[in-house]
Amino acid sequence: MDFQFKTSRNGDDVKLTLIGRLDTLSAAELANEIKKINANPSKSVEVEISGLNYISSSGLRCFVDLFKGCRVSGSSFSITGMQPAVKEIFDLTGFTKVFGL
Amino acid sequence: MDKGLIRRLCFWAIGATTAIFALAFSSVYVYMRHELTAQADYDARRNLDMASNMIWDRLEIARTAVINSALPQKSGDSRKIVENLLHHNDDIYGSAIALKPEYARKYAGKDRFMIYSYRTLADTLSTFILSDSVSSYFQYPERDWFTYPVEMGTEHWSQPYLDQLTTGELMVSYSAPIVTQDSVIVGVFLADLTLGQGISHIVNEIDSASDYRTYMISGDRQIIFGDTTRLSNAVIYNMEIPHIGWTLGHIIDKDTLFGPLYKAMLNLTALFILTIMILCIAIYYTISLMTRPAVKRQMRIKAELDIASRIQEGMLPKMVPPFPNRKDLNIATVMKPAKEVGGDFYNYFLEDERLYFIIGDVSGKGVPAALIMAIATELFMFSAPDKQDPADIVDSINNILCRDNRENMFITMVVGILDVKTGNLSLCNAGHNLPICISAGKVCVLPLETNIPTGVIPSYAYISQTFDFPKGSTMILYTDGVTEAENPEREQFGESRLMQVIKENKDGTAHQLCDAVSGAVHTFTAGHEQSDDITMIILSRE
Repeated sequence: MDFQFKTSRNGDDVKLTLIGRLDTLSAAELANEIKKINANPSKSVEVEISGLNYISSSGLRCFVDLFKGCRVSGSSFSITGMQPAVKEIFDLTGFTKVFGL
Repeated sequence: MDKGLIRRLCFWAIGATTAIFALAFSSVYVYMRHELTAQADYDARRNLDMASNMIWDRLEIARTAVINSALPQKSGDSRKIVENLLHHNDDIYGSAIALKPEYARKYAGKDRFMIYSYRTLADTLSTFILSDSVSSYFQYPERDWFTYPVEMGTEHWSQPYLDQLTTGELMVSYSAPIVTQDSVIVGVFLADLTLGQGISHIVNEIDSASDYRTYMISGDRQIIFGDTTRLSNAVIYNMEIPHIGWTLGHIIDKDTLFGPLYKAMLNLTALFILTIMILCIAIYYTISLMTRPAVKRQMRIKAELDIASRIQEGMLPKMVPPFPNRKDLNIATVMKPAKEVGGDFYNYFLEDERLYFIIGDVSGKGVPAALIMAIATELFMFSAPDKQDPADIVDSINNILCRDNRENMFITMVVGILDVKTGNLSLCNAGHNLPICISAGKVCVLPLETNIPTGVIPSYAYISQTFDFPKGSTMILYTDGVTEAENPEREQFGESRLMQVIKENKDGTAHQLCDAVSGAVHTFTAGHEQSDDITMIILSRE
């Protein structure tokens, strides 16, 4: 598989690890996982993306889903381990500003 | 399953096939029949011509031998002459000199004089002189071979006859008048020729090499050789052999002559039946497949998507060139959805010497993206007029998109207003790919502030920037489908390749640039499946 994800809960903290290419196809899988995370509010959500090397606009939408879910439930939202190539996409699309990175 | 439909389709298919085959049948039949007849005709004429010439050549041996023989000056010469003739001509069986009764009396002192020499079975010559009434030849002055030359003064060929006495072979007699130096006919010179083996040899050769059977009929309608039965269903060719009045003929069975034709017809019929069977089976399977519920649903969705695709195309500006009356403004566009419908869009319109334009990319693709795209393009057309600042337009679009965006779809876009008179260009970028500018021969990425995509945060304060867009400048706006187009090795087309193509074509018109970039992307992807919508809008100021 080009894309893998893993959710780990440590008490009230949720860590979502993404590895590989997050394109339209893999975004559809991830959307289900994000729905689950949003349905079980936690104190903080951390998305670890040091293994992520590509993200499409559908992938970005997953981040918006999660981000909005956190805002509704009052959880803190953070993205860590961003690679330069992915950072560039976040910058170009303005999502750096949206997520306050 | 619709049995009526299958029956109707089968009916039409069989009807059409039958019509086509009937046409093929008749044309093949007419053509082949004509060809076979013509070929048979040609072959028969050639064979008959050859055979009759050979027969005549053979007959002429006797004629030449007689003509070349010395004429008897006195009765004592006769024996030598007839025997000489047999000596020198193996094919001549017998030879005779017979005198008219008055000359018989004059030369031989009898009422009859005939000297006849012939080959015995032992191939020796036997010669006898006939001068009394004992012999059966005594009546020679009444025979055709004698009376004809004597009375008409011309040569004569007898009808062929079977020599039952010695050879048992078919014979023919040639006779010519004996004329004295003072032109008086005194008698007849006769030569008997065997026809048998020579002719049957010729005929056998022809018959074995073809499907013909050869026959020969004498002048008095006697069959000389060959079989003329079963004439009812056969084709007959006849040729008369010169001088002797015999008819040489070829007979060929129609079944044999048209055998290839009947075989072709049989094959065509088999093909016809096979075609109809295959057609009916194909129709049956196609219909039963088409009427299966899953396929039915898939076909309906496909049809609906096709309609949606046309509706979406209809939403984009259609005029080419967009402003035919304006020499100072040129716009070229391309939009190629990855699926039937896409989430990319562009639009533009001119109002009070100001060009309003938008290029946008809805996150995702397919039908969901297309629905949002339809909203966005209408929002632009609705909110843009009268606005002075593109940021205001983006604000309006953003606020409405955010209002009930349950799916968190967002749109990146660049909205611009170009004052065509002054070249004053305002742009607002909502998270979109940065436009590329060609100005004064230089190609550069416009240093445009990014803002954030629309549809994410309501009431976000978008800001725009202004640039100078002098005459001769060109701006290329595109969506990430261009730079992220992939080749089979999953490499992306990328910004550097895009810049390279633009640099190479920087002096071209908007349309040439558009074609160059589209072509480069097409070549690069090398047939790899398009993963995202590809959209470009290129505008230039002249």
